[in-house]
Amino acid sequence: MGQIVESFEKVWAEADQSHPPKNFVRRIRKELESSPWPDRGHEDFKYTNISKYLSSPFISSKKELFLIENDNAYHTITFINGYLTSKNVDTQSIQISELEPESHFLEKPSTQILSLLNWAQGGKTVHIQVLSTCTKPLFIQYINVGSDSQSLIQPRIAVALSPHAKITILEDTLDMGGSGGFVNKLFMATLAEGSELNHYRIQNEGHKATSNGSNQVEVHKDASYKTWHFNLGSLLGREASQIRLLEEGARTQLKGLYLSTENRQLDQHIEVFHDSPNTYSKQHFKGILRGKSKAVFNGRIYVAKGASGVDARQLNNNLLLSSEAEIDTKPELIIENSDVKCSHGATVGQLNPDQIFYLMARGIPAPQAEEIICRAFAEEILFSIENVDIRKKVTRACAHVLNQGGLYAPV
Amino acid sequence: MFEIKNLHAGIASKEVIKGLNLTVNPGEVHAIMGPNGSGKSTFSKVVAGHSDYEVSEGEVLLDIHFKMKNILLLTPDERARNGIFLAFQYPTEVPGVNNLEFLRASFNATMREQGIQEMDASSFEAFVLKKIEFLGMKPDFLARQVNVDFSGGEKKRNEVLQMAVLSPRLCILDEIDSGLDVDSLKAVADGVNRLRSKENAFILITHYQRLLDYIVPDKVHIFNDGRIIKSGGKELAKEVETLGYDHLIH
Repeated sequence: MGQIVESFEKVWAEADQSHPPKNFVRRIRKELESSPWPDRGHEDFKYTNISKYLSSPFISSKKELFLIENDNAYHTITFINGYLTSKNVDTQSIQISELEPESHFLEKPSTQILSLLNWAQGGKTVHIQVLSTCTKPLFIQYINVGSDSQSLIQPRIAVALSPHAKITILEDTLDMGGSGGFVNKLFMATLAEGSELNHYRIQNEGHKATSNGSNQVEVHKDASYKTWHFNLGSLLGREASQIRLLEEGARTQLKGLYLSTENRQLDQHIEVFHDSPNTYSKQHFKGILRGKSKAVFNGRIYVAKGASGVDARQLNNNLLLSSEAEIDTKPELIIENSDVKCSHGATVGQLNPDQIFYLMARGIPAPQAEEIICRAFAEEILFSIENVDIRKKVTRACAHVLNQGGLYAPV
Repeated sequence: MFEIKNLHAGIASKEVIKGLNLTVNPGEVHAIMGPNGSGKSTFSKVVAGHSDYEVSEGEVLLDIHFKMKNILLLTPDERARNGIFLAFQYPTEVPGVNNLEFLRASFNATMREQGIQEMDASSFEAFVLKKIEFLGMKPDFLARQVNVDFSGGEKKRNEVLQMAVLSPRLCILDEIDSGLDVDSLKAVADGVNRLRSKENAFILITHYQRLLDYIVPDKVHIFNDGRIIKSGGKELAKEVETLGYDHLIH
């Protein structure tokens, strides 16, 4: 029996008691049975020994109740320990239901091992239909209560935007002092013709958790998918996006910040598939690393045969605050076409001692000088957040990470 | 209020300052002149506390709360908050940092040190706008990033603005005249003159007499090979202008 099954068979057996598995789930489990954990020969795990984090046998997280205060600025749906527990959505534009896992939601479903693991647990998929434009953002709130190192939390969401519908979605986590476990989220979205999704996600799990956020999006004709990732929490925090630009005029913009501290590791894996001509993508990710922390940026752009008139750009900038921090940045362009505009760039820098001295010579203490320069570095991404309330939330979350360890005095 | 005693300092174990002595009293303007490589800029960096420079001997004393204290034991930010201000020869660009925010962080750090209430964003902006008006500058400085895409003259004026905001007691101006056309030089000098008072003192480091036509010094020191070889009144600067440094050195 494979190593993966050993870690997850308990969870599957438990899940099957309340919800007998469908054929789709059985098929995936069978596939996983024969697979070992991917080793460093696998491109997605070249810098990350995933089996180290996931080898202990997991058990299902408990269903808990928790009193939630709703923020009226948002429509809110809440997951506690990965289970959908409340919906506070007062609009006809959004319909929420739960679907059996065999529904093939995406045209080209992903075969990434961690999203297969999410499917393998069975259970229902939370289906969010956006039928028309919704001006109030939708807040998907994850609350983790009393998790231990063996708990497995695997929410699964599928969002469908009807033609020309527009919505903003925010995903954020509130960790109530959990002591670890594995959080493996799967977020899927399909954007019909002319629709627009602005998608913000804050990965803010507890610092002992292992987390993976799979983000799989299909963008149809003239639709726009913009996303902002803030990879902040977890011992290993992995964010993996696969964006497919399926039809002409489809566009995507991905921006992100990762702030890694202590001995933590934050990975970003981005794949953008330009399947059709005249599709557009822009990526800009920035990272700040402290202590002995590590981060990976792996951005892949595929341009399919015949996809002419594509414009694809990618930029990754890193600021290393310690000589022991490590960043592995790896842009990849796979282009099967000549009539395209593609660019990529990566920078890795340290704090400029002249800048620090200049600020200190004006009376600013060294830690605050560092903080000012780090903030300036991050602000390029933070200022691009279009929703003011979300920008405040994100800025607070980022400041909190930079402040931990007491290095940064509040300004 | 400021005294340097037998200062020896250098960079990468090479001694550059070789026994410097200097006393500055409140209200005075001193000029330090000297050829390239005589150690003038090193002197300013050592006083400001740049970590590249090492002091092997001597003291730099500043009156802090009516006691002469050796500031060589303080970090650069502590020195600044206690009234030392170095106007940089090449002010550093700090991309992404707003000039007004930078000024406020700097001002409030100094206020904290002195136990005075910090200023909030709006009252600080009003305070800075008054300083800008006083110096005859344009308010658009404030919205820009610190020294980014500033012309040579603008950078130096930004240094003068910082000086006006922080009201330091001892200002060291390291070649404030370098790279400036006559109009900018006049504007910068005019700003400095407006900031002169009985309580503060200035040390002007310069190659040229030209600056001293606009900011008239009380004392002029000729610097060579890491120490002062001659001191005098403002007429000494004229002597340099006419006869050159060689005449004084040999």
